[in-house]
Formats: sequence, C-alpha cells, structure tokens
Amino acid sequence: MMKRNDLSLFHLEREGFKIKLRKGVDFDTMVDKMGSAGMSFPVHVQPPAAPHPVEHLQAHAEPGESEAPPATPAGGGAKILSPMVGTFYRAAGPGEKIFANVGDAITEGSTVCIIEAMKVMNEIKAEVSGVITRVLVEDATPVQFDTPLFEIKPA
Amino acid sequence: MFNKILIANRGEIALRVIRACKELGIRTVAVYSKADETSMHVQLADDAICIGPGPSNQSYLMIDRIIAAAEIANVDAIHPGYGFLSENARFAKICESCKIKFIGPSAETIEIMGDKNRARATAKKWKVPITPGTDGILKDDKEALAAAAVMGYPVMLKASNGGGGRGMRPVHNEAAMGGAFSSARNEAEKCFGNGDMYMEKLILNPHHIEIQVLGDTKGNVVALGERDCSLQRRNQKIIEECPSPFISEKLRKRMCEASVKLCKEIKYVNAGTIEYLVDEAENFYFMEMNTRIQVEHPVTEEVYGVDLIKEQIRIAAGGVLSEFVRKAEKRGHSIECRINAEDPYNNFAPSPGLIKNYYAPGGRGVRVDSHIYAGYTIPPYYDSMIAKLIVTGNTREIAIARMKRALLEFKIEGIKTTIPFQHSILDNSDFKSGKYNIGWVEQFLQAKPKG
Repeated sequence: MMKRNDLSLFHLEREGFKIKLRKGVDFDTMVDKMGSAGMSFPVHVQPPAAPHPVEHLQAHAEPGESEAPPATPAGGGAKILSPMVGTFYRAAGPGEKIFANVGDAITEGSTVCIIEAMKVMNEIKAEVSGVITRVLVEDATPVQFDTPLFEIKPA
Repeated sequence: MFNKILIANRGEIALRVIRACKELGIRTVAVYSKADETSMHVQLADDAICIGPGPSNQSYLMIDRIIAAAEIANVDAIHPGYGFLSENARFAKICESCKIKFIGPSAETIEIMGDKNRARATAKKWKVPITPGTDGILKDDKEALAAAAVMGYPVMLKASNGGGGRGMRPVHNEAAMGGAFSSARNEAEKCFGNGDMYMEKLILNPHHIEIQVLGDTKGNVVALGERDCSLQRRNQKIIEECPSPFISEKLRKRMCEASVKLCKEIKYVNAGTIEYLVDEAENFYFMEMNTRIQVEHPVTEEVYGVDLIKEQIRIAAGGVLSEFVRKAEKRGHSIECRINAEDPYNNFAPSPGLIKNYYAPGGRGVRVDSHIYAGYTIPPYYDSMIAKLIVTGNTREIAIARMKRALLEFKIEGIKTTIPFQHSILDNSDFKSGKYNIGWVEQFLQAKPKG
C-alpha cells in the first residue's frame, strides 16, 4: 500500500492505538554510510562506556549480542530497529498472542511488536517479509531509537 | 530535591547542567542523537538514551521521544537548556501534564513573554519603557510602509516569535521595505514556523544590555546585574561582559528595578533575562525577555558568585531564593568569548570536522565551558559554537589581559576557529576603552584587511 501510494511515512491514530509505518530504509546500509562519512570515533579517548539503558538491555538480550546496529547478523539477514523511544512488548497485552517468535514467517507490514510511549501502544510493523531468526530484546524492557529488536532473514 | 533530571539538550550546556546535577547529588539522564554518540555529555551522564538521527528536528526537537525517554528513565524533572525546546510553551505544558517538572517558568509565562509582540505589550503595561513600535502584527508590507511613515525611518522589522537574531531586517527607506519584509517573513517562517512580523523604531548605535533575574515560587525576585552583549556579528553575540563598561551605576539601578518590578507583576519564576537597548543618552528600552538560561550566564556567575544552574534546579524543586542570592553583590569583572568552529578569514564559513589536538587554557580566573576534546568530531548538524572561554579579574584591565593570554594559549587544531578573530577584538583600542556598540563588530570587520 505504501509503495503504491509512494508513501514513506504513514501515521494512523485511533482510540487506544497508533500505527506508524516507515518504508524501506535499509538501516544497516544507512549506518554503514554514516560510518564512512567521517564521523569517526575518537582516537585519543576511550570509547564511551555503554549508556546504561543499553547495558540494561544487554543483560536481558540473547547472550553474545552486540549492541552496535551495524554488525551483520550471523544469518546474513536484516535487523528490525526501534523507530522510537519507549517500552518494548512482544504482545498486545498480558496473556495475549505473541506477535513474532523465532521461526515465524513475517510478511511486510505485519505487526512484530508494540512499543509503548506516553501510554500509547504503538504497533511496530515489519518493513520486509521474512523469517524471524532472533528476538533481541526481552519483553517489557525500555528501548531507544535504533535499538535492534529482531533479526529477520528476508524472504 | 529531585532524584533524577533529564537534560533535553546537547553540547556545552548539557555538560553544564550535568555538572551542576552531579554536585547536587542528582542523577542525570542525557538524550542524544546518533550524531552525538561520542559527545561528552553522553559520556558523563549516568544514563543516556538515543532519541533519533542527527538532524535536530528528528531528535532534540522531538517532544514525544524526549518525554518517552523521561518516562522510561523515570526522571523527576527536565532541564531544557537554551535553544531547542527551552522556550516551547507546548513542551512545558506536556511536561506539566506528565507530572515531570519543567525547570524554568510556567508554560503560561513562556507563552506570554515568548511572543515578542505580546511581551512588549506586557512591558508597556507595567511601565517598562519600550522601543516605539507597532502594537500588533503587520499583515503585509503595505501596513509596514504605513507604520514606518508614522514612526519615521530607520525602522527594524522583527519576527513576533523570533529569537537569536533571526527574522530581523533593518529598513532605512521606503524603497527597501518590500524586499526586507518578505525576506524577514520567510526567515521567520523557516526558523520558528511563524511568519508574524511587527516593527520597532531602529535605535541608532544602541548598546545591548541585559538584566539577569531569578524568581521563586514565593514571589521573591532578584536582579543579578547586567551583561553587555553589544559585540555581535549578524545579530549573534560573540563577546559578553559583566559588568557593562558603558552604563552608569544610576542606570544599572533603574534597569534592575524595572526588571524586578516586571517579573514580580508577571509572577516570574526561575531564571530569566530581560534584554534592553540603551542609547547614547542612557535611555533604556525593553526589547524582549528570554524565559530560560542564556549562553552567556557564566559572566554573571563569576561576578556575582551565584551558580545560576543550581539556582534553577533549586527553584524548580520548590526552593526559595536564599539570602546569599538575594544579597549578592558584584565583585570584579568577567568577559566571555564564544569560540565558534568557523573560519574568520573566509567569511566565517562553518568548519566542522575532527579535532586533532586540543589544549585548553588554565590558570587563575580562567574558565572553559566546552564539550569538545582531542579526537572528537564536530557534527555538522548543530550551531557552530564549540566552547566558551570566560575570564575573570579584579578589574576590567586585568580581565582583558587575562583573556588575551588565555586566547593565545587555547589550541584547537584540525578545524578552523574564531580564536584569532576574538583576540584581535580584545587587542583593539575601542574595546579597551569600552567604546563599542551593536554596530561596532561589522565596522571592525569592514575595516580589517582580509586574511
């Protein structure tokens, strides 16, 4: 639908939920490009200690998970990154069906998780179709902009 | 007192607020854009949350992401710094409704004084002299021409929702009005999302003198003297002094009294600055009020011995102005030079990039407020100010000698900076004698040989 209407951002608000869809920016490529644009990390100074929310996520994420978005996932796939700041939920509510498990086939535009901010539950949609290979964040944990949420092997 | 504060800003002011919080035992949360991952304010905060990509309108100006960050970090208060959302009444209102304390005046006060036209009306109401000008918005250049015919040229077109010197155009005659009006309006729309214009009489050779105020919730207001900010290039301040070398003690007293009275009447709470234009005959005119902390606040701190950021936090937490603050007196003289990543020999072209070497001046009476360091890459998305060099001495002569010495010590290699330009001003006889006004820097630049 977004391709047909040449939309890059679609934002829908109804009572109780809000949907924001973002079209096809390949985040990995974009971040790699930013890296080569001269925004190098300091030479003389220790790299910054990981900010605490990310450390917090580290404790809950899959073992061995790197916090840096540009890392190419083992399956040679893509990552779904958080487009906002808030709390990550794997289902619409306690006891409800989990949106995306490892091994699930996901179609572009289907909901993969909820990120809640300011009491609004935002449905986060997959921007590619594929199979979920890893879930990178535990349920009910805070996420930041660009925090990797899922690894997905594109169809 | 607050447990945790989120700093909704970046660069040197974010660092300034984090430092004050650390000294008060308050935990700090930084928000940052992807371009600011290596910034010092991110490194020194207790927690940091990424809120978007580099461009400000996708990160530091995103109210929903900042509030979301405040919620997941569970902060008690937000310090907005200067610029960005610091004078955004809607942001202050949203903080209030989310039960997060906005460190500054109320949303209502920001609304009243943030609209420059409305602020003038408020000043006029409380008998603070204002520059002669239009009472309302000018619909188009025809109305502007009519107003100017009554007022007499030269006039200044100004954006009602403006600030930082943007959306302003001087007009010297009828022929220039049409072009100036559309140019000013376009700039205002671009910078502030609002193209409403009004007009003031242009005062020739004015001095920009501003008064620092602090108000608490019990209605106490104190004026901590003035800052002279007449040295400006393209309406951007480049050097500030406290006290002003121009005004008399009598004028200082009158301006402080007028400022305190105005703040009491509007029930102003927290830190603020009232900006005035002063002519050669020592007539002073209210120009506008900035309902936030200002870039140049350090020179007041050094001379009055008051930590303005800590006072902002204390007042926001419900504190009353202490006796020390209410009785603070000036001592000594302080000068601030803003150091920009710009090439002064190439029309001040911006010069972002990697800082290869960095050595900051030190010694008695030298203060450097800066977030940069050797190995840091200045991102291209934000304004070009990278450091503030503040020196203080017992007398103005000592402060000048100290500033010249400190500027020569200051090494920032890998990018171009305005350090040599600042030094040439400090070395100038007009500056030494304190004889300068708002037009001085432009005249100085035109007289200088290039390169």
